[in-house]
Amino acid sequence: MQTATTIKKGNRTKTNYVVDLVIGISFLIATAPNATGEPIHEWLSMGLAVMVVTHLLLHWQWIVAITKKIFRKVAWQQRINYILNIGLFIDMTIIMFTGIMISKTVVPLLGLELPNNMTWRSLHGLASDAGVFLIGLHLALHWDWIVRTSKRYLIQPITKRFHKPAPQLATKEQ
Amino acid sequence: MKLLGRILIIALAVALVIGSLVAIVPSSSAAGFAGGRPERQLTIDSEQAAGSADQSASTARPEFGGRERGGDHHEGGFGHIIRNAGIMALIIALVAFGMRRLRRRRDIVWL
Repeated sequence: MQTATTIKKGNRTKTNYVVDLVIGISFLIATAPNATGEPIHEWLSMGLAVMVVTHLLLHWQWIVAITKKIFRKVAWQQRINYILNIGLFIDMTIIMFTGIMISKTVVPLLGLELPNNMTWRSLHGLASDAGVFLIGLHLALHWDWIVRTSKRYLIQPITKRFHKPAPQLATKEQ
Repeated sequence: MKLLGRILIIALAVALVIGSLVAIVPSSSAAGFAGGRPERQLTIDSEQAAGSADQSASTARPEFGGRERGGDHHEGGFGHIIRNAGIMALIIALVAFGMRRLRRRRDIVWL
């Protein structure tokens, strides 16, 4: 019998997985504004920013725990992960900020007009290229979890749907 | 309340990064290279469009219409998505599977 804690943990993992999946797909789509067009690129990125904050809030306990003991005895993998995540946070912030500075849809909609300049544009491009590498590394460090959770919440439900168990034969109860 | 506090901490961290970025980026370049290089032309005038036969004005490639010439960073459309997904897959293959192999060998204890 499943306890309430196990169910809660399962739901939490599922939420994390869905949020991460949405972030991953959105990021990949957002890296090609010419394919989607500027308005979709900008609005998708705005949504991505909200999802990133949600991701941070969902992992808040880990952030606090590692921050407290980063200078003490902690596994090197965790330390590398923490440093990488700080880099990723800085990179994401730069992408979002420079994106707002060169915005052609969202910011003008708010009635604001920002000066046109190339520095923010080139920084935006550089940061998004760096973001691809950093997110790649982030995924690599969590690859075991991704595989495990994908099997549980993505592959198993699909295979279950296609391989429905044969109806049980009625037992003779005489 | 707890949630608001956490969001506030994230907002402060974001402000710190943006503040540092604005401080690092020279104000002259932030104003569009006002100190030296001229602003790059992002759009083409109607006269230029009529006079040139480059792809910016071409009706065959409307996605380039009005964009800067000489290689926009985001050129590539859907190809960009595939390229980035490929880079990520390569990094995952190298790092994740490399780490797994090292762990099996038990040479590196900290992994």
